[in-house]
Amino acid sequence: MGHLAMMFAAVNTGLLLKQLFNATSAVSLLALVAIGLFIIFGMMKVINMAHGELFMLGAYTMWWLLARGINFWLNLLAAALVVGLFGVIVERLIVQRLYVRGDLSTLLATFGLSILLQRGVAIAFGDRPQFVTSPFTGGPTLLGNTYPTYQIIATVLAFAVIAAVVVLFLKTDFGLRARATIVNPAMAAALAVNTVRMNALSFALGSALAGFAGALAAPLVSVVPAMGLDWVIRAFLVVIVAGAGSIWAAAGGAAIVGGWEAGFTAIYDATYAQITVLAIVWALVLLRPRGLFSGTGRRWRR
Amino acid sequence: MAAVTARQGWARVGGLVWNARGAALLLIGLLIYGRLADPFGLFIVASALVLSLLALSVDLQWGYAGILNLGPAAYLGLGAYTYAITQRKITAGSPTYLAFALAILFGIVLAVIVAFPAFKARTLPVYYALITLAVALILQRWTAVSYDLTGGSNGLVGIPLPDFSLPGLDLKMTTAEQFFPLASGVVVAAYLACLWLTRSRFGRLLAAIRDDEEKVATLGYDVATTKLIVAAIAGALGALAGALYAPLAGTAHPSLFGIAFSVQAYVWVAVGGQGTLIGPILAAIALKLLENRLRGVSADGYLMLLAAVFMLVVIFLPKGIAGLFDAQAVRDRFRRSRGGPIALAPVLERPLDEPHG
Amino acid sequence: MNNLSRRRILQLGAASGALLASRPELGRLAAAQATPAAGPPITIGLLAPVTGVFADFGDLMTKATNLAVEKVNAEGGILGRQLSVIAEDDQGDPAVATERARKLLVQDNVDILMGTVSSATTLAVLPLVNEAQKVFFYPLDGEDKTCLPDGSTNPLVFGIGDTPQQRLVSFVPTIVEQAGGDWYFIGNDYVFPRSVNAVAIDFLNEAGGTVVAEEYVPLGTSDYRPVIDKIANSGATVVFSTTVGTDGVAFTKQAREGGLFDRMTVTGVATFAPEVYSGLQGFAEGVLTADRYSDQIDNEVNAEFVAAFREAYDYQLPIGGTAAACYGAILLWREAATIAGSFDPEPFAKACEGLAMTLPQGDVEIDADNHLLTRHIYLLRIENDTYQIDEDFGEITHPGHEGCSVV
Repeated sequence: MGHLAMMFAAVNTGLLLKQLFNATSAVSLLALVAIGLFIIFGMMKVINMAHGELFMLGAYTMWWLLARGINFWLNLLAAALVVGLFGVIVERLIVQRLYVRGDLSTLLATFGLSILLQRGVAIAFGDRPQFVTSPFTGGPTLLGNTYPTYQIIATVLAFAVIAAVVVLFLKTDFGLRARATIVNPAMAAALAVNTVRMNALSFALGSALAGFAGALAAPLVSVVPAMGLDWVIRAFLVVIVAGAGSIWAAAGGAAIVGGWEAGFTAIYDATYAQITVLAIVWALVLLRPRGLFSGTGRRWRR
Repeated sequence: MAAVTARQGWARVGGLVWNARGAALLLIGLLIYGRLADPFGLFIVASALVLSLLALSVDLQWGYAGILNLGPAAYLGLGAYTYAITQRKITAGSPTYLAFALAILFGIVLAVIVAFPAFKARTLPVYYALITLAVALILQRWTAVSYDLTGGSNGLVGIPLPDFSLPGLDLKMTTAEQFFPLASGVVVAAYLACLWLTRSRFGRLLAAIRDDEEKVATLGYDVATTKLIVAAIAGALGALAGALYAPLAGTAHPSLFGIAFSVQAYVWVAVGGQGTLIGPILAAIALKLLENRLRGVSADGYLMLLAAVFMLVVIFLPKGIAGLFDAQAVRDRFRRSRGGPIALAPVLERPLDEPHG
Repeated sequence: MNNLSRRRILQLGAASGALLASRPELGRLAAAQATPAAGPPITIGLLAPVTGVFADFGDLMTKATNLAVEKVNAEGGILGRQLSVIAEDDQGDPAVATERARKLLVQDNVDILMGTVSSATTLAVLPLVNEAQKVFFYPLDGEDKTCLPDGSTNPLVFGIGDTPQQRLVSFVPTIVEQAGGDWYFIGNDYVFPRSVNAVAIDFLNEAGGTVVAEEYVPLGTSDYRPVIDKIANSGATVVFSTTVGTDGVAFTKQAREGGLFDRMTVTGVATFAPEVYSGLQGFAEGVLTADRYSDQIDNEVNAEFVAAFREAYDYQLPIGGTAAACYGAILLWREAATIAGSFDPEPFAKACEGLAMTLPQGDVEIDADNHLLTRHIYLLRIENDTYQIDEDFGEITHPGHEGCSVV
């Protein structure tokens, strides 16, 4: 009790605010990665094990272009484009072939792809961390804590892109077709939705989001070939928590996973933050085998 | 069961001959290799054999029951640490029977803890795959920070070689080379046990579950328990692999839980042919020897090669590379729905009126 | 420097000059060079992780070893025999390391083994070395690993990095003096940071400082911001980091951006090692750290080494102690083998004991009692992409087998 009382006594508002900001920033990037994975999973019911490597490719695209003097903000778009195109190729060459089998082959094939990409990049650029300078240094100070300008902008950008994706899904014709495909592919096909094309488009979109997230995160983290693992594992957890529910579920899942980790680290210890988050997700799967916000089709219709 | 036709009968005999031939050839090959090879060669093949038990555990789950466990290395690590800790803290200096028994027991217990709730709750296979991956990761992280019990990130070293001494009979190993006959014996025994299991009624039930879980459940079979038994046997095999690997390598370390060992097991199964049992063992030996040659050239390159081969096999050769050489026999046996290969066979190719069970 | 004397177990090896003077072997060395090649080449087994998380270290080890071998071969080899290197990649993984070490020791039957980066791989290889009865040099800094489980000295194993005791004995009081005694310890959660911090905390208490907090974060963490803000608001005056490799780079970067450098003194070991400078660069500007080597060390051997290294590999980054250690090891071997008259493990190891000479890292002496190097430790300041020497703490000996991690 004494320990707990001391902890509360020691709470300072400045730190609390800063930690809330840290958690928000972590959740925004995680949500960006997870939503890409989630769209692919929702649409095609396949898990792309190489999603973390798409994130990594985004970061390396940023680094590579930046080293050649190309504008940072252009590189964000370029990374999304490059990785999105790569996603199209992966979908054509691997996912589409295996989709018809209706089993877990896709998961295994993309597992292989993730290692291929990671080691390929390691051979090309080495395992050492690459250097991505952020376009801003420093930032405003509030109650004694610095809020790095780039971290603020990255968080806002991430949320903006997530909002755009939500609007895309809920307000556009593409979104209507996509949601129809998710709820009932056979019926959607019967109603003249080109589900093969929808699958390809959603895979490209999911990949582009991962690439964009990687480029956006590049100045905030270390750019190394294995960087995707830390993110993709948590993105998997988000998808498990969210189930194949609505696009909001993915955001909720990211808030739970990312928020728990950041909060637990701030209060107690980072190692056990990771272990407990895995344990919680495991428990959730047993209690709600189809996801916490599990998917009835209705949610997709809003 | 429909009456056994002459063609089915011959196919069955043919299958057994094929498999018995495999076991006999394996044994003869190992005997010859044991005579000819240098000590390091023996060590390499011994570790291939030991780790091929992990591949067998993957094959049982993936190739025969359609269960995807993405963290088989969890059992390798568990077995290794159980052996190491038992032999250091409980039975130091005495025979290693208890260490092996505990390793196998813990392997079964972990499998049941992970699989029972998931199978009972009918968790989506994709989630089960991700959960098993997470379990391996939790164990790896936890081992790396449990300094008192596991030695933390430094792991445990100086793990004693197996000692099967009985009163009045000295069967204590003194060099790592002596592992070769032990590993050969264990692998051939495990192979025959798996062969028997998959050729039994139980094996046919597994194949049926793999092909259409819903239908089998409708017929009144207890699908969850059947899958649980497979997971438990696989857990025991994986932990046995770990208990043998720790003394062979001389170290138990958190990386034994890592993704590299899991990937390796899947690659061996994919290359050897899932659902063939002998295939993964042969692939283990061949690829381990190849790795020993290539590692000096480029470890990353070798890993890329494996990953590429694995992808190509999953995409183009759902029967594994071994399936290329034995396509017709494999298909015949599979058509009769006997404990056969092709977990990843296209759903559409399956005859609709196939009798199961 | 005077504050060293109060720690009786650490002595300054001031007698090295006398030792150098009393070596007639130098003459014998010249004689050996004159004789033509005698016998097959001496094989060096190099266990270096050229892939994986320690790839930068392994790469430097390989480059420096090859450079030294070329030099020695060009100067006539050792005992008239040429050197050849058989390199194996241990990937920083103990399971791989034991397999590769076995290959070098059993199949290749190398004359001498050098290498390993992480403590875990070093410890995993030791039983094999003992079994094969070969001489083994490990070049990395870290806890003492030259003892046997019974506490005596392993006759064939030599540690040519430095230990946390050596590195921190003068460094901790110096920083306390400059920046205050309220220290926050942050490291990755594994054995090396914990053992370094345990030693640092001892010295900190001795210097009258206090531990504000000691915290560990799992390896592979990419987001250090929650921890950094905890530190920033902890009231500490110094943060001592033992986050390593990629994690250390992420920590430094995020600490710089989060304003931690403006609020307190950021220092540490491993985090700011020259080996990871390619990732740190400007983020580490102005940091004070203690190390066993800087390419700025002013002596002839180092000047030759640095010039040759930069030319041979077109390498412009700061060169780390890992490279210098491997280069130096081969120069040590030439001396020891010449004294022993052979490369046979027993006489060779005996000749290594007490051997003193000037290497790129400064004057060193292999301590006959604990098989670790008595060596200089330097206070370094990171400035304009170089590790400037702020102060030479002098030669420091590791006390016996204190903190030996072989169990």
